[in-house]
Amino acid sequence: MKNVLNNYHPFAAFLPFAAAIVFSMLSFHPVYSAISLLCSIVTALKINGTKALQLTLRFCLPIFLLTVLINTAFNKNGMTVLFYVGDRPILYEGLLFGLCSAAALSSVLLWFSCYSTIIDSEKFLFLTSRISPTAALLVSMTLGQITLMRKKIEEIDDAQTGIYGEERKEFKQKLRLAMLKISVLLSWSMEDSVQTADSMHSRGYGTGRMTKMNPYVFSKKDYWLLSTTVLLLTPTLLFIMAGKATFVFYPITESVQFDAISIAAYLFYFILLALPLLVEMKGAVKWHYYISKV
Amino acid sequence: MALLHIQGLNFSYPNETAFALADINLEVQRGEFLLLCGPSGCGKTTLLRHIKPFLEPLGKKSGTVVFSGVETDRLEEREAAAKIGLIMQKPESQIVTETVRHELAFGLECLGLEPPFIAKRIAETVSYFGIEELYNKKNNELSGGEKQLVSIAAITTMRPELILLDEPASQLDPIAARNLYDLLMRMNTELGITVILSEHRIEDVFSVAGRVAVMNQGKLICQKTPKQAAVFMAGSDDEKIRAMLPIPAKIYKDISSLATPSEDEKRSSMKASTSLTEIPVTVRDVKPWFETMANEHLSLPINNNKISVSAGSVTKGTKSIKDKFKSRQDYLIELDSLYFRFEKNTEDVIRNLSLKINKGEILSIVGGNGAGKTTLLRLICGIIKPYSGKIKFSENRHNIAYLPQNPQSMFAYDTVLEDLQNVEGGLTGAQRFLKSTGLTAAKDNIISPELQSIIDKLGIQAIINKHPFDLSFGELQRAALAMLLLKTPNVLLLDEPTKGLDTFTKKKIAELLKSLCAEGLTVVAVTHDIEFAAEYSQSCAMLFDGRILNVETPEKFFSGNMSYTTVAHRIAGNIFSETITCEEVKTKWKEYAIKN
Repeated sequence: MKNVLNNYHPFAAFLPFAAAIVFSMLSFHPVYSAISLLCSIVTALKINGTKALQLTLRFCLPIFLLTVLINTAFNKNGMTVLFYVGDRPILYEGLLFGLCSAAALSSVLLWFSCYSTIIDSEKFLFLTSRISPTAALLVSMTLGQITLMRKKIEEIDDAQTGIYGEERKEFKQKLRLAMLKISVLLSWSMEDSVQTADSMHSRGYGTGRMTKMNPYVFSKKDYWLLSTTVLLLTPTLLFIMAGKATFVFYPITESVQFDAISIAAYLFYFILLALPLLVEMKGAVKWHYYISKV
Repeated sequence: MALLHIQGLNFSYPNETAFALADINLEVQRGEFLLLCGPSGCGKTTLLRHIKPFLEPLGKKSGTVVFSGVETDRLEEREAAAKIGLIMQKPESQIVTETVRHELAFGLECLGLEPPFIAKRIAETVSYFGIEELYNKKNNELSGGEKQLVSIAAITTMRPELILLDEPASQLDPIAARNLYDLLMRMNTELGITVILSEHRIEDVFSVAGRVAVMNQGKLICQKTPKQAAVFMAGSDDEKIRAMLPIPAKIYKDISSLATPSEDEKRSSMKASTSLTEIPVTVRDVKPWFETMANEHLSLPINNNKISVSAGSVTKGTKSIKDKFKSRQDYLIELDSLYFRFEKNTEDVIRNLSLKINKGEILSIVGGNGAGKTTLLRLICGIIKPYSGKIKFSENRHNIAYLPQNPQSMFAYDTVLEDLQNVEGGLTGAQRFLKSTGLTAAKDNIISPELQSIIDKLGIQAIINKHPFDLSFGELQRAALAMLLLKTPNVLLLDEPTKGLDTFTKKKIAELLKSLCAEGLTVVAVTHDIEFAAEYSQSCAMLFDGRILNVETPEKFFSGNMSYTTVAHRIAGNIFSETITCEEVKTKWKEYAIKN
């Protein structure tokens, strides 16, 4: 299923995700981390469906648990002892710190998975080409090469098995075969790149200033999304700069503040991170309504 | 005024005395479709690169290339890029960007055109080519044929006046190749774009071209209409040139010389070919002619149903093959109801496939695109495992060698010899060290007798010190075969062994395979090349819908089909049943002529 955000202008769609990723990395605060984790999970499920579920269970959950476990087990920078395992004290501060960093890490991963679905490489290129067309072309070619190389590696694998069969089982021989394969890949790719260069040259590359095709239209809905994002982003940024997203863990954790300003800060952050989801939901509702009308 | 005018063009590569191009004089009119053909290595690519400005190879050049009144060296860079388009051989490497959309825009972006203008041009081109469904894809998702279409479309967006194509279809399967040629035809007739197409596998385009230019050893030896060029090829002294002759023309020539009443057959064939001024080159022209001839000279009726008449007199040779074929007891490999799929939730690529492969035979497996031919070979080779079913070998010692579609992936070193030695057991540490230091004095001494015998058998002595990437496709394939034979396999699996080869090289490879088979090697080839399957294999199998439909002798397999059969059978099938190659048509004709 195509997502609503795919139809937005790259820049408008890029900003909320960029904000979510950057803020999730910057903020180290139980409430902020919790908001980010929650929003990222729901958004990922909405945007990526079952793929997100797999990512969460197979990848994020182990990372989450591992981070918490390691932090709790080895962190000695605390005062509040929960219990002892042998001689080792298990500290409340360590646990909380572990939870926070695990949440931050997982949410960044999930945000990235959403981001890569919405902003595919072409859109990313479009964004960067505004800054430098040559760099954008370079990235585009590199991305194309990666997939091509993967295909070549498969072919080389087949070919080498075709020659040597599965007779080479020893580690040393396997290592030599791997080196051999890399060498094949390199010389093959280089040989091909000569042709690529000819192809570029024959189509006028390097004959002067390059332009960049613009397949995207900045429409009204993009304008709305962009302005909403900026409206939410500015106060959030101010709050974070004012220290609302920093949290003292050691030696004793401070208590989470729930005064009016703090609540406002949490709220802005929450709406900002929920923005992609809201757009998707709005689209879904609209579509549903449209269908029922038909 | 001619669009392109080449006068007295000579060219030699640096450090080589021989001319790569010698005294080329060529005039191409606006809107012409010129087919440039010749055996591989005859200088086609070099010539095309001299026409495309700023891509000409380094070397010594004399003579002039004039494009619409201006010498190509003096053309303005951007104009030259836009007006003369070049399509190269490999679909992958000439694609620059990641997505189809960007690829189409690339040339226009390079020319610095404004975005709205680019968008319009692309929209126009995409609609003309009918490639809307490709537009939103990534280039890596495309098949080789689709990639070539995109490359051509990308060049068309720049409004070229002349398109040069350097063997654009050599890496494609026959159906994709035909699509490509159809498209070129359309562009030529509807848009008036001048096309110069270089090809060595010319069967499909020969009749389409307006003019045929034949090259050999750097010289342009013939520029005529297709039918006249066929006469030239038929009368050539060079075996390589004669091998290029399309099959309908070959049959026409052979039969017309046989039908000429004369005592001395040889002299008559000479006379026939010299006295002809035109030879028809399509099945459409030759088939009715052949049927009338057979009717007049051999008094054979034109009748599809009388298959049994000639079936009774099938030559003894075919009969014995057939007997050998039937004894499927002597099989070496048995595939027993194999099932395979790539991923858990996808469809089976191979389903319920059973096949027995006889010892010492060449088995050709034919089938359409995506029928699972390569997958089948990989299964037999053991690279992938079936999820159900068994592969049994009747002998305990079996050693399977697998030649992939692209033999390039087999070469890792700087010379063919090093690759061969590595397969043989590798250089010793000391030798490797000597090599790396450049002290390779001992190099010549380390060719073992086994290696030498294989080098001799494949006739690759001349190329063993070359870099693998400097070899032509045919040479590369032979070198790859040498690597595989060093492992003394008893089964040889070939994936599209004739792809990208000219007819002459194809014949040489096929004869090599035959002689290997005589020594007890079992060869399994999957191929699109019906002519190859018909001429050189002992049995043919059809892979369709994930399983093997039938295994038969090539004679049986291809006769009776209308489209999925050889050209010779299309022409002569109504008269001589179970004849599928030119040679067989000739032999049968002689037999009947004697009878009469």
